[in-house]
Amino acid sequence: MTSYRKLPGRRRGFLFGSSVWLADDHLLLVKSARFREEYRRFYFRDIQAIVAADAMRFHLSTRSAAIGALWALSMAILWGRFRNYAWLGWTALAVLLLAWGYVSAYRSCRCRIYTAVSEEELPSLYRAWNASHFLQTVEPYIVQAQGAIQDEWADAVEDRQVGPLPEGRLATTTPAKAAAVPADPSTFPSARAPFALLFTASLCIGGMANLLALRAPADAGRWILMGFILLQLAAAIGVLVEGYRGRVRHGLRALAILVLVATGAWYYAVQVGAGMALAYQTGNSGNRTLTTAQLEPLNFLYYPVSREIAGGMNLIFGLAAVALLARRERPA
Amino acid sequence: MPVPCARCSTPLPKWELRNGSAADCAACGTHNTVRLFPAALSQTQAAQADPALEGEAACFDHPGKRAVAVCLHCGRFVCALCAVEVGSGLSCPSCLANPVAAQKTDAGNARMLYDTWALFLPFGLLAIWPLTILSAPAVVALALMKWRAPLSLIRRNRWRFAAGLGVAIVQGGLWVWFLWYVVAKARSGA
Repeated sequence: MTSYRKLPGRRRGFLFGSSVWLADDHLLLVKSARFREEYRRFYFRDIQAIVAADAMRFHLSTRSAAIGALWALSMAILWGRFRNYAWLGWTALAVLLLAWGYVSAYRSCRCRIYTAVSEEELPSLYRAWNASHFLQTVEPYIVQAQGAIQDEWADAVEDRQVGPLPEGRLATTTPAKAAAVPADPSTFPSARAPFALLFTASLCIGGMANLLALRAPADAGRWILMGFILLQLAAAIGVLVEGYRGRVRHGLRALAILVLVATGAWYYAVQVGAGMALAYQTGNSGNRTLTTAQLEPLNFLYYPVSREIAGGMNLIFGLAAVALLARRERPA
Repeated sequence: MPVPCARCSTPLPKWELRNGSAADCAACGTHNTVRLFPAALSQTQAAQADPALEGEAACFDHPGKRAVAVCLHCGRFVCALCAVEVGSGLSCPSCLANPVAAQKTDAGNARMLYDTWALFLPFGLLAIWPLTILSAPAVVALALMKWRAPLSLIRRNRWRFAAGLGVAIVQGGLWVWFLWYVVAKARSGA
């Protein structure tokens, strides 16, 4: 049996994870989906190149979720017993979010490994320091197996092909000038498809409307919220459908999925919260029987805090969608 | 330049790579750190099998080709085309495709993690606890049947099986006690 040593970097997702392991003569890439693992082996003698590119990676790992849960627990304790010190909790949250945002935006990367027949992303290496540590660890093993590369390699590699030759990639014999020929812009996936615009507008306008209507009568606020949520869900589904047809960029598709998931989570969390609040109020009032009106499923929308959360969430997603719309068009 | 950008796969500019092991992609502007190895410069030669002469051992799958090795698992003769290096030995393509043989040499490309199932079911189904009446015996059966099944390549011990089995036995015991109690109560009432 081969013995493996873990290499720097590990992706810990809620459903999917990944890591890279070192054996005597190869690297083992493990992609796990909770109950199943898939393996890819890269023998030292076959590895042509490892390339790490700076990239934004807003990954929420199980570790960060655990930190979030710990914060929520501390906050609940502070709120219950030391309410005067609650600002400490909010400050800690702001620092944590800023740190996560900074690391995700400026200290993250995308790492790929190339052999003659394969080109594989290493999902576990999504932070720059891990990628750097990984390269330092692995390089001596590959050099030991293949020897050191000679000088002037940049010229030597010019007429070779690193990695496999998929359709669309330039062949090694293709003149370099061919790379400069601009692609037909009509083939670019556009962020400005009708559903993308509707999606962005529904998020921005919905977010602002919800926040502005906080002091409006509860009934009006509730219908504004419901209307925009339905519009956002329809637009998000439209973006996904357009995305699968290749008409919308990957970033907007990912945002649409995030909006659907976040809306579901918000609905669930607010329902539970409203149920608990209702039970607390009923218990305090001494009246143990709940009326039909109190048990209405959409009752929780009367709570301004639920509209406040939804409004803030929509506005953040809306700004992200605007940023995606403003990005330069690139070939798919 | 054939070294591709790790983000957009556009070839990285040569003049940038000349100055070191880093380059900015001309298309997306991303900064790339590149480690290139001699395998990128060597010309890969395709394996070629020599024709088998009269009286020479021939490949099982290619009778006209000379055998150069014996498969570690099935003992078939294989030619240079069919011999696949797996760890320290050689295997034939059909054994490599066979998951049982492949798992013996750690050569498989995927594994089902039965131990994770055995751990998840008894704990996960506590959220819908009435279902544990079904999951408890299922987990005991799974743990006993798959105890010797190959685990993850990178995780060698069976503590998940043991923990899942322990919890499932406790759940099963509680169900037996509860059912016995209900039956006894019904009998005493009657």
